[in-house]
Amino acid sequence: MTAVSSPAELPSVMLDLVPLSLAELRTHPSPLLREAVQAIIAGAAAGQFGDSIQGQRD
Amino acid sequence: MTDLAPLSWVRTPSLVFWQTCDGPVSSLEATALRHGQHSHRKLLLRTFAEAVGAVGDELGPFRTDRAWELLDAAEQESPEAVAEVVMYPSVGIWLSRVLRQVLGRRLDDTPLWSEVGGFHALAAAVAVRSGLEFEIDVPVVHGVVWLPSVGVLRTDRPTGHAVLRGGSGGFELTIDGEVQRPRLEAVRHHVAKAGGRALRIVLDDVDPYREFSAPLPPRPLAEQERAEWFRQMDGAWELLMARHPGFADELSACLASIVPLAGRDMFAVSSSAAFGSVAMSPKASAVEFAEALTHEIQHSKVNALLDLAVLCRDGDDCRFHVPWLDHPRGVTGLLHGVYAFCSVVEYWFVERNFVAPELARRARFNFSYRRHQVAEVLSYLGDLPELTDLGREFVMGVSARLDACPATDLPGDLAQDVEWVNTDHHVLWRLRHVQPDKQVAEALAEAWLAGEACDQDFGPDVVAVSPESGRSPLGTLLKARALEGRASAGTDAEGAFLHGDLDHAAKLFAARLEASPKDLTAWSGLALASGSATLLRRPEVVHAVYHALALRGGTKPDPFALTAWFDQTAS
Repeated sequence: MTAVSSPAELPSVMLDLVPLSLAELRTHPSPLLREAVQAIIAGAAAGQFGDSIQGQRD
Repeated sequence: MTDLAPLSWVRTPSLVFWQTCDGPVSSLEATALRHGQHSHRKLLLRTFAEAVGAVGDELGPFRTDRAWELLDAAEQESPEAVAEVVMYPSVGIWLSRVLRQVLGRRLDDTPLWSEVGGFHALAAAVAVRSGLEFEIDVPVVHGVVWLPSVGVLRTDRPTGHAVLRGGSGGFELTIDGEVQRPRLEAVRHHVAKAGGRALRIVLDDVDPYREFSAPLPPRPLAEQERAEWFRQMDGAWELLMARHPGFADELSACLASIVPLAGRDMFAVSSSAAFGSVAMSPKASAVEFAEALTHEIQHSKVNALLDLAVLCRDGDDCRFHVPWLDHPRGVTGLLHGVYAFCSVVEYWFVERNFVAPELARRARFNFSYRRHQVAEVLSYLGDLPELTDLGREFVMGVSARLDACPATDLPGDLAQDVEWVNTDHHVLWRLRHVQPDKQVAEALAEAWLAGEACDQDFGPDVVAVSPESGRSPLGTLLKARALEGRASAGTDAEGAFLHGDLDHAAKLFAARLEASPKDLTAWSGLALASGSATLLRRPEVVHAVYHALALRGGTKPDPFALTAWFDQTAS
């Protein structure tokens, strides 16, 4: 497979919250952040939020 | 606070994607994957902050204001400590659980107050790691107070809540007015060294969320057991550094914790919510230990990639066969499987040339078996409409890696047994989980009775998950023979098959069907022994028509005549 070394980026699908302090995190008024939060809440209501386990047996 | 800068999006260089598709990643790509997981955890924390506000009075002392205050103070002292605790694998499991709990989904018997109280425990752990003097209410569950990434404090109360004071003087717990000096049972840090490089890992046998489930009691290993785990980690690291430097690189960048599982039946497990954690049973050798780590860390990478890039849509519709599991999987599961098992193929492709003579056949089997399985899924995965363009690129990357590990020098008997084992699994899977169209089965039965040709379209697969699982007796024996080079065979159908008398085996499987027509393993055995194209490709249709005819006429048709009829005329 050919590795691409161009500066291109993947289409962004995630807000970058790493730079925020915890105080900023819980008060940031960004509509995009609210939208992301609402998406998780809606996903949980629909049973679509959770973790998946990958396992293998002997 | 309205003067905050607008948020930016996570910028993921294409290089990270391509390198991840290509196989082992370096610390550069691992940092990007971890960054995405960190951002995701913080999004879940924000969601938790909003959702928990709507919970009523049932939280007792665990209103979250005090925990946020302590976290803010700790972050002033050590932002690194906050990041490290938030990114500790078990915190991801707790977050996933607590969010569902506060949003109204009951997962198990764990009370809401104790799960929400985990946020106080998280704040306490950050305070400990930041060196703060602090006091905070914390939950007691299974007799311990959880301090993620630090360990647990053992108390003499099974459950409830306590006031924890921590600082330079150690820990003090007040429960119902009684002050205790609890014992800290710390997670164990270990550094494996080889070839001038170190692998730093936590061996976590105490964290309540360590097994990616509801809180569990600690199960601290005895000193001797722990020493054995460290010895195997050292052996695995030495082996990986010597012969698999790429996998060693990515483990040093991605692996955070190893959780020892008590039983020996589960080889290894990982969770989408616990980046960098591998739970595993004890292994017989460093070779197997290294294989388990190599395999499971791939799932962490795929999970992290799936949060950063859309590889498929509707990926959870479970209707596909994968040879490594008995139940149907969705496209997301297929992507996980081919990627992780391709790494296993690469591992054994190299390792089979180095293992001790007594392990040589097992190494060749592992390589051949997994290679055959990955190739089977790749044969259809790339064409699925659920894949995005990126998903297709991902699959192409795995295909290229598999092609670089050709199965050229395997003994013929081993290759044949591997093919049979996987075919048997596929046939049995179809018999269990693929529902034939009843109208089609009836029409085929009519055609058979009328002496007409079998020209009915069988229709698309309709998968309905059955609880049945497990290998057939023939599959078990074939796998044992492939692994050991021999298998004890009796005089039954399986015995005849293993002795190479396929005609006789087919007759015995057909006789077994006469006695027990619902015995699906007799059908899969007949498919392998007879080589019937239709029985191998669409066994559920032959099975359904057989039963439709038996119901109509009261006598069962001859399975050989029926399969011959299908094979002669079916497309």
